[in-house]
Amino acid sequence: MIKKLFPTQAFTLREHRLLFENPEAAKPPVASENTESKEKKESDAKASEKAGELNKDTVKTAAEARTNGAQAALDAAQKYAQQGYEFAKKNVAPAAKTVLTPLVGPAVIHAGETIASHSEAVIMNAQNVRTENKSVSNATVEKKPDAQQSEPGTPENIPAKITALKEEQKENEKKLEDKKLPPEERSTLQERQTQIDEELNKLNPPKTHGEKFTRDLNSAIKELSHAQGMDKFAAFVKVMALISTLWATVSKWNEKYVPEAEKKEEAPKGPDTPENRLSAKLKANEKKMDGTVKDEKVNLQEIKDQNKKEREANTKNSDDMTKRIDGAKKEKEVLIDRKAELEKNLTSAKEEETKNINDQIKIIVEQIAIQDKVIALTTERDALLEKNKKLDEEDTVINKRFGIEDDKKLEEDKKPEETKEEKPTETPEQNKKRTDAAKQFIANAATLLPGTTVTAGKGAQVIIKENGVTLIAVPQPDGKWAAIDGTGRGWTVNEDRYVMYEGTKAGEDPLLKKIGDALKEAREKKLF
Amino acid sequence: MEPLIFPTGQEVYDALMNSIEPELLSANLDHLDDAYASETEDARRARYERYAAAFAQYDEAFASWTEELNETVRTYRKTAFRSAEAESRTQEEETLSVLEQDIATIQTPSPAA
Repeated sequence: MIKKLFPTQAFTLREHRLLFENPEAAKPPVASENTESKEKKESDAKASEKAGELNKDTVKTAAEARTNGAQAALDAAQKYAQQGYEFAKKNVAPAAKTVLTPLVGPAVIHAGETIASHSEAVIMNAQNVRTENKSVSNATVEKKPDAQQSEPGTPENIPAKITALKEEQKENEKKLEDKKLPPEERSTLQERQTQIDEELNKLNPPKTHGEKFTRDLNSAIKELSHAQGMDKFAAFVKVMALISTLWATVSKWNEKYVPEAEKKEEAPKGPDTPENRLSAKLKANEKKMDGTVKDEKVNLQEIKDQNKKEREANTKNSDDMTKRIDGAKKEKEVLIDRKAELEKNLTSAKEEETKNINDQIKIIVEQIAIQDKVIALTTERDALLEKNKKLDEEDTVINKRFGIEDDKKLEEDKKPEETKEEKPTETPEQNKKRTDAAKQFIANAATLLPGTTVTAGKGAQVIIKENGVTLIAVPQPDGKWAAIDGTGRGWTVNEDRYVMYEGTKAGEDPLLKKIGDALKEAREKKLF
Repeated sequence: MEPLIFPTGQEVYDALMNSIEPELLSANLDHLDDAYASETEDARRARYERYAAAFAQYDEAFASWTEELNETVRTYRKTAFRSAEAESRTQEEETLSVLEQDIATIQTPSPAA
């Protein structure tokens, strides 16, 4: 933000207070380079003022003295501000960079070396893809990137000049490794190394982008390892730029090839049947859940829930559309009647009325067109209803897999599994075992569940409260714990997984997770 | 962090004097008596006494403004340092972040590759 240091109206209020309420509060202007001359002029002017001898000339002198005083104060302030600004820019940031460079330098070299070899793999992989697609000429594909190309004397047919340059480069390399090398000589050698790289590139140009990249990176890494002071930072920036280029390239390859492969996998196979659609949804769902849901039953239930939500939304939308369509149809009928009436009037109308009626008819025709657009929503609504039909078909397939007829039976099918253990058919021994487990848990609750209030409930129930959230947990004969949260949802709890009956994502409830962790710890310590 | 813009000494003088005695604005100094060609000697003396009082008021106003100016400049310097430090820190963090990301995503090629 640019701020102009200028006396404003707001300042006048301050001035007013100083002048009329507390005249003694004002202090003399700050000292400056022109202090002496300013003070002299001011004292002369003040002497005249006090003596009542002011005239046109002395007034002018007094005013000029004050103007000069203001200018001197401004100059001093500006110099002080500018000094601060320059100092901050020059010293604060470079000081930080000096600390940063030696820290990141070695890490970059290491990363660069790894990337150099990694880039080879990426390029080779890319070449394989190209070969498979037969979209690139063999000439481009055949040449493998040679990360070691800067090393001397590998292929037999390397021209003598290249060998000589590489020899020179190697010797320079050794010289640069000498830490006592004077900076000027170091700089000259660095420049020569860069020149040699360029000459080598001309004599033996890289055949692929990958090869060029590898050479550039090797060169930059060498430069970084030998550079000192600010040159090191410049070399570091160069390496970082090359690394960014590499990752941008890798990302492009991923975008270009990986999605296509995935698409092939995800593409629906066979005709558009409920079974095929469901199969595709199952795959997509597992992928979305990052493979955590392996149980088909849970997965199918999730799909049913999604279908239900989609169906409800579709139904709501189609209902809304139906209302709008019906309204539009009625409106259209009214408009058509009105139009007919106006057309009838037109025949008997006087000349001046004709234009008015025609205008009205024009408006009505436009309104009818609008209503027609609404009526055209019928197609969209029918599509939604058709979609619902397909969702119903999928649900039927899911129900068949569960071996049931409808949702109610599915619920009944699930609930007994989770509540079976609390049925009165339980033996007294089983009940005692569960009750003992609950008591043990409560006895160790302070250690196992710090920050919660754990009390005994009816029978084997353990009531756990935390931040206003209450869970009723009940140990099961198989070692798992069942729990019911405040909203009445049921949960199965064990050491590593917390599954809500309605198929909600595992591990979602923090308190439930705590209980699971506590249970695991209790088992490890053999508390029960 | 933008540099401060400073007015000139004359601008400051006029700005302060404008609310004290407009007749003493720098543009009027050469024509102070022009409008008072027929004034009496007493009236002239009274006018110049008014000018003297105006200068006294100006000095007080100027002292106060100078205080404010110095405070603004001090604040500006502090802000400049903070801004430079923050900028430097951001650059460092960005650099380190890029480096960390790159290192984290590096995969050593398998021998088969």
